[in-house]
Parts: sequence; structure tokens; C-alpha cells
Amino acid sequence: MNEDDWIGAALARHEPALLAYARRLTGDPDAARDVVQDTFLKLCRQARSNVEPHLAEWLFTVCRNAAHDLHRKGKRMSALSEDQMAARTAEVEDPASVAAASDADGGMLALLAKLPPRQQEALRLKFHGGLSYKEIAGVMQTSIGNVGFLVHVGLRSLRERMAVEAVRQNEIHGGAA
Amino acid sequence: MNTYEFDPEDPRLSAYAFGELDGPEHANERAQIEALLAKDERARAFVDELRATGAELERKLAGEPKLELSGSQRAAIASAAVAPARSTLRLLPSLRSYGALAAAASVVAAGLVAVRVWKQNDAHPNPKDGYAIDESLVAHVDMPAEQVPATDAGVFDKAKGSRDGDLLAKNERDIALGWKLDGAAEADEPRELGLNKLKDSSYRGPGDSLPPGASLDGSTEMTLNSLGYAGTSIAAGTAPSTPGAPALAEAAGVEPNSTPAPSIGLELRAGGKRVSASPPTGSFNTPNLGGRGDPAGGFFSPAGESNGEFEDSRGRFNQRDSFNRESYAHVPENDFRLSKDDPLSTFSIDVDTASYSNVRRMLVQENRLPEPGAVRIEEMLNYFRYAYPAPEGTTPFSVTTEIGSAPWAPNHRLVRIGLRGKDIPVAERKQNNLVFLLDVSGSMDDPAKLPLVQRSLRLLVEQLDERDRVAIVVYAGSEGLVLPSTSCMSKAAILCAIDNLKAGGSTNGGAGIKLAYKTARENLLKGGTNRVVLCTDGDFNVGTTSEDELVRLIEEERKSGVFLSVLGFGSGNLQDSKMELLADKGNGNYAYVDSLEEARKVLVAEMGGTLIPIAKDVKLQIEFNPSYAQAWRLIGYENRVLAHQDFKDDTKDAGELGAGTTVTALYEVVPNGVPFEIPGVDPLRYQQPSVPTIAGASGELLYVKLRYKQPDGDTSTETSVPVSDRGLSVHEASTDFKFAASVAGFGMLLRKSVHIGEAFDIGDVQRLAVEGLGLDKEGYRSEFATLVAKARTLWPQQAPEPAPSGVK
Repeated sequence: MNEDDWIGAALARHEPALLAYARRLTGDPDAARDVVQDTFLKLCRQARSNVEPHLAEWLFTVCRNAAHDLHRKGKRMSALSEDQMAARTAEVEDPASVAAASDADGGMLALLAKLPPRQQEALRLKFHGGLSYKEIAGVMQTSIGNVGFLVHVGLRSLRERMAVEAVRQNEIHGGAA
Repeated sequence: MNTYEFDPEDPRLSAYAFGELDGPEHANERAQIEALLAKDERARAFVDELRATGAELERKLAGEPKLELSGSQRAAIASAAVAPARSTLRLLPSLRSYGALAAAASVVAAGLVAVRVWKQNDAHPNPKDGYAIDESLVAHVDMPAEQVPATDAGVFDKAKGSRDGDLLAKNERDIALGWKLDGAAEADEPRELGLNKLKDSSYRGPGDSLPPGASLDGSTEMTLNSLGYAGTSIAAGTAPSTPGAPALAEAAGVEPNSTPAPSIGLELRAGGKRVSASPPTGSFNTPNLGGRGDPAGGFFSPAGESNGEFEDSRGRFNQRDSFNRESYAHVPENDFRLSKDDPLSTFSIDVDTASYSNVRRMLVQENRLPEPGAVRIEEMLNYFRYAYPAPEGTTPFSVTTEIGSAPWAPNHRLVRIGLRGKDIPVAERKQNNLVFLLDVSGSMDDPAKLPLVQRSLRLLVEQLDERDRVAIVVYAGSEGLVLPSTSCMSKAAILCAIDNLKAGGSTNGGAGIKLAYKTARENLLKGGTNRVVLCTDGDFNVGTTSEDELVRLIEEERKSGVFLSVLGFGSGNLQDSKMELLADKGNGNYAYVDSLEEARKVLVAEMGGTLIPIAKDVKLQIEFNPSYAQAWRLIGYENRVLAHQDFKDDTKDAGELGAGTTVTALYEVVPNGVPFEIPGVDPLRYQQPSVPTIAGASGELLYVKLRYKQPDGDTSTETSVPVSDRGLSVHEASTDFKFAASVAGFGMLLRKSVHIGEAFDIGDVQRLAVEGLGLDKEGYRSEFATLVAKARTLWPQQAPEPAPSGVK
């Protein structure tokens, strides 16, 4: 059935990125799952022709709203100001990802987590969600120009910090040897 | 423009690097940057580096430890995606003409309307109007909050509380969440839009959006309440005088340009109307099914049944049966046989328990003593678990025997033979291929029937896991596959299909059963349990359902490895004997489900027993020692008696024993030396009065032989146990023995057994039941004691009953 394919395909394509995204927003894997489930249940009620042309944008928007809504309503999470959010993402990092992040080669994600939240968000939407600047602007409720800025600055800082980290790792290695 | 110099701060470099400037509208910028890259090596390196960083980030993000939706969440989505399609496409066209299904159709139609309404609000999250959407979505969730904080809990507890391990609760929540969102969306509407929206024919009443099944569990009930609208809108719908009812009825109709007439909305009302007759607390088709100890809140109106009519005939039912279609084949009690003429007793085990639940229903909910024909003592005995030891070694079951005095005839001996199937730990259990064959005929449209079936099946499905497959076949005017065989990985899809069931139409069990078997065969799990589970009130009243034909079919299918279990629901229509017959022929069990508790017992607590055969064709043959036993009588198992030569005949079907189940059989034995004559038979002129040849307590009274096959085997194994009598009285015997004796005594009294003397009455049963309570962890025995107490209050006093016409 076409309807099946549509939802199923959307799920197959966007689930990982949506979950990762929702997890950053909520700071909690279970909340993230619920938010994403929510999002897809909402999608099921949409007419395909209305949503499909901008499916990714729709999904991330609804997901983002649901996550924020969860936060606003549930009061189960502290308000996520930009730095709190950064702290939180570091805090709830699960062991596997912490391990990956502390790995010299995989340190990129740890560094990503240290970027300002909106940069992180834009980078995730761009490089995990596969959204265009325009779509990201839709999701993040900002201008395309701002998205361009966030992505650009985010990538540059990431690149610079990686370089710094590489040097630091070398020094540590050198010291040990 | 030509003077453009490299500036690493320029975000357009990233935009260019990642293809954001590829569109024609960015031709100028693109040209600028390309010019820069052509002349400036640093710029080229920078862009390459950006790309490399982006690619690495993409790779790292993709390789992040992944979260995944749980199987049930995934399935909830899958079922939400197909739910409307299922209701419209998979319901049998021939069923549409029935009210409930027409109502279903209108709900679907209304669902489509809702989509339209919504789409205008939030399907366009583009930068211009997209953010309005957010707010509307937010508003949708926010709005009911003030009405009911519970709504928050319903949704947002999930955030904290959901853990995959907690599947049952989780599924309920998942389902609840799905509907909840629906409900919330609609419930908000009138608040946002005001009453004028009610007049808009595209608005549908919130109640209408609620699927019937959704109202049946606690969590959803909370949702219903929390919506606030559900109850009132239904009330409005059913009471034409209520202001707003017309508007709602209209609203429940359909989109202006769609064809279904408003009458469909009215039919929906009609469908819901029965609800208004149920206790006031039941808001929307929500009798409190979970409610225990509250018969008044249950489904059976005790009205007019307060007087325990009792009839003592052997073949007739009392007056009630002129309108009560429950039918019970009367099976005459087993009589005593003389050991020296007939030392062998051969029978098939029976693990059914339906009779006890049925008796309980009549006593508790209908305030009457059961018809004697409805009482099958072996099923009452086997309702309870006894502390038989688990088998050792390779034998799939243990055999326990005990002898004490018969409480109703103290100089007779009561022999208890108990089997216990080995336990199969849940983790080791076989995979199940289950096909639910559900009667959705009009007669099932009763809170005690289809809704209870739905809940019961939910209980069972929640116990299953990804090893299992479930399919659902419904039958009414014709049959249909509403859920193709589905792995229990997609549990929520199965649960959703269960919830979407509606009753309507007349019954044609025959065609449905063929489809069910076909589905089971097509998904046959080798080495697994393949079973059709028939849920019905037993009303096979349309079409070619010659009983013989059905039985032949079931026997045929049994050989292909698909067994049949039968669950009986509801009262007033129960074709008890037919259902038992079908289950017997299909190597299955028959249980009567009268409450959710019973469903829990039959389907969940005993799922092992119900679903995992550990031995089949289990036959017992008991040889009595004439030098000790003068005469013997098998208590119950009347319709399980086999010819002696069938014992060794492996082609003869017999009962199957499930993992962990216990089976109990009782014999009443008249020892030698006790005055005894078979009623109606003169004492034999040439026989010597018998004397015991083996002295008293140490004598070997009888010899038990058992034959069984492995569940997938064709040849039988035989084991045997000699049994001696140590001369205990019933009061010296084990707790289990006392309890079993009490149950048997109760059954005999209810059956008006000729083998019970004047001296033994319902009070004795009660005393014995209390003596036999034991630890009673599950509370079943206490319930029995309560039942006996209830029966005692209904018991006819010494004053002669007016004899039912035409009998004795």
C-alpha cells in the first residue's frame, strides 16, 4: 500500500537523525523516543500530498516543537538555556558516545557538543538530517542567512578545535613517550 | 565584485561548499565564489577543508551510538499509518450494512475530515506561516491541560516512565498516546474555535473520534475523562433533548461534499446507545471491565434473576430456556461399576476449565444455581492448581495419587489421581503461531463479549514476543482476514487490529474456521505451537455449519499440526457442548471467559498451559483390584470416557497436557465388605459376598496406566503406577485432597447426583473448602469458598420446590 510506504519510508529515512536530534533537545533518550514517536503519529494524520514536498522540514519542525513543548509543559526538564543545554548534552552522554568522543580520532562529537547549541543544532540538521539551509531555517525559525552563518561558524570552530585537540593529543603522547 | 577577496568569515563559502548556491537564484553569488576559488589557492584549500570537515561530521554523526524507537513504538506508528486503510478496506463489504460498521465507516470518514482541518493549520511549516503551526501544535497539547492535569500525565509520564522492559504498560501507553493525540486534537478544536465551529459540518465531535477499543483500558479511560468532552458529547448524542445534540449529530456526519448521509452519524449514536444503558459511570462504551467484586457494575443485569430457579430434571432445562439460548448437553453421570465385571476404566484427560467459570457466572452474576447440565465436575476440579511435584527425568509429567474417605459417603474411598505437566520456562517456550478466529456477529455486540474478547486478546498478545506470530480472522455474515499473520515484533499493530474490531452481522462459523486454518497452515511454525483460537459466544447459526462437517474439518486440520482452542464469551447464547466438542476434536482446550480476571487466568497466568502442549493424546487406564475394590465410579469426565481397547490404539485422539498444568481425576471406590448394590440391579443370586483378600491399608487398590505422545510424536509411551490405600479419612488427607473433594462434592450437589447421600449438604462442601484452602496464593480457592457460600444462600430449603413441568 502506498500509504504504508510513505510513512514507512519516512521512518526509515529520518528516524536516526530525528532521534539524535530529539535527544539533544530533550537530553533524555526515552523522551526522545517518545517525541519522535509522537512526530510520526502526527505524520500519520497528515495528507501525504501536503507534507511530502517538505517532509524533512515538517518532521524536524514537529519534532522540535514536541520536544520544546515537552520541556515547557512537563517541567520535567530544567529550562534549557544555551549553556545549560551544552552542559546537559555533555551530562547525558551515554558511555558509548563518551568513549567514542574521548577517542582521539572520534573527538569530533565531543567538540561538537561544546559548540553553542544553535550551531550544534544547525550542524546536526545539516549533516545528520540532510536538510538544506532553507529547511533548517524553517525548522529553527530563523533566516537562511542565519543558518548559513551558524553552519559556517560551527564548522570553522569545529575544524579549529580539532586542530587544537590534535596538537594536545600529540603533546600528551609525546609526554608519555 | 571582481575585487572580492577571500574572507574565511564569509558564510557563503560553506554555502557554496555544500551546494546551497547551486540553484539558479544564486547564480551571481556562485559565479563570485567560483571566480575567487579560481584565483586564490587559500580559498580552494579552505573550501576543501570545509567539505572534509562536513563530510567527517556527517560520518561521525551517522556513527553516533544510535537511538532507536522501541518495537512497540514502531508498531504503533505502523498501525497508525495503516489504521484508516484497514478499517475501510479490510472490513468485509458485506458487513457494512450493519450499524456498528457503518458507524466505523463514518468514523473513518470523519477522520479524513480531521486531516483536512489540520492540514490548513500545520502542514506547511515554511518560514512564512510555518511557525504558526508550531504554536497551533503546542496549543493543541496545551489546551486540555487546564481541564485535566491527567492529560499531561498521560502523555508526559511517557517521557520518564517508558522503558522497553515494561512492555505491557508501554503498549497501553503507546496506544493510548496515539488515540490521545487524536482526541486532544479534536477536543481542543471547540475551545479554540468556539461554538460556531460546532456548526461547521466538518467538525466532528470528539467522542466520535474515539475508537471503541480505546475506551477499554485504564490508561485510555483516563484519556477519555481527561478530554472532558467524551462523556458529555456522547450523552448529548444519545439524548436528543440535550441542547447541542443536533449540532453534534450533524457534526458527526461528514464533510459537506462526501456522500454518507447524516443518518450515519445517527447510526453511530445508535451504536453508542447501548452504552447509555450501562451504569452511569461507563462514559463511552466503557463498562468497567476491570472492575472486580462489583457485579452490579458488570455486564450482567441481575434483574429478574434474583431467584435461584433450580430444576432437578436430567434432561430438561427450566423455563428460562425458552428465551435463554444457552444450551447444555446433559451427560448422565458415570455410574458405579463392579470391579469383578469391569475392572478397567479408560478415559482421556481434560484440561478444560470452562464449566467452573460458567457456574461462577450463574451464581455470582445471575444469582441463580446453574443448570445441572452446565456442571462438569472435571472442569471444576481442573480449574484449580494442586501441589503436584514437578516431573523428574524425561517424563513430561508427574503422577500423584492419594486416597482418603469420600466425604459424601464415609465408608467409600476417594482416589485422587493427579498429573502435572513439566514446566517450560518462558524463555524456552516454543514459538507460537496463533490465529485468532473471532466471532464478530451481531450477538457479540455486548460488553461481555467482543469488548471482553478484545481485552482478553490484548492480555495474551502482550505476553508474546518477536518469536510469535498472530493473525486475526473474523467471521460474521462472511469471513475476513483483518490481520494477516504478523510477528509480535509489531505488537502494537496487532493490538490496534484488536481494538478496531466491531461486531455486526450474523454468524457463519464454518467459513471463518477454514480461513483461520488456512492462515495458520500458511504460517506453520515447525516445532512451534500452531493454534487457532476461536473466540465466540458459540452461535454458529448461519450457513453450512453441520456439526459433523466442522468436526471433520477440525480433525483433518489437527493432523496438519494446527490445534484449536475455544474461548467462550457471554451468556444467553452459549452453545456450550458444541464449543467443547470443537476444542476436543481440535486437540485444544475450551475455556469460558466471563471476566477480565478469567481472561488473565486462562490466557496469561496459564498461557503456558493453554499454549504449550508437552504431551498429547494423554489417556489413563485404571485397573481396579477386585480383591479390594468392590465397585468404582469415575467422577466427572463423562464425555471423556474411552473404550478400553482405545487405550492402546494410537490413532484414537485424547486430551493434551500443557506445560505446568495439573489435571486431576477422582474415583469413588466401594471397598469390599461395604454394603453396596447398584441401584436398579438386583443382587446377584450366585455371587458370594466379597471379602477383602488383601489386608486393609497395605493393599494395592488399583493400578494406573498412562499413555501419551510427545506433542509432535505419533507413537505413545506408556507408564504405570500401582496405588495402595493407607486408610486415611478425608480429614487426615492432604489439603489438596480436601479441596478437590469439596469441589467434587459441590459439583455433585449442583448436578443433583444420585450418588450423594442425604447426610452431605452444601454446608459440608463449604466446611471442606475452608479446610482445603491451604496457602491459596492466587486466591482462587477463597473465591471458590465464597462461591459455595453464595450457592448456599440460593440453595432450595427443605420446603419442596415446585417441580418443573413434566418432570418427575
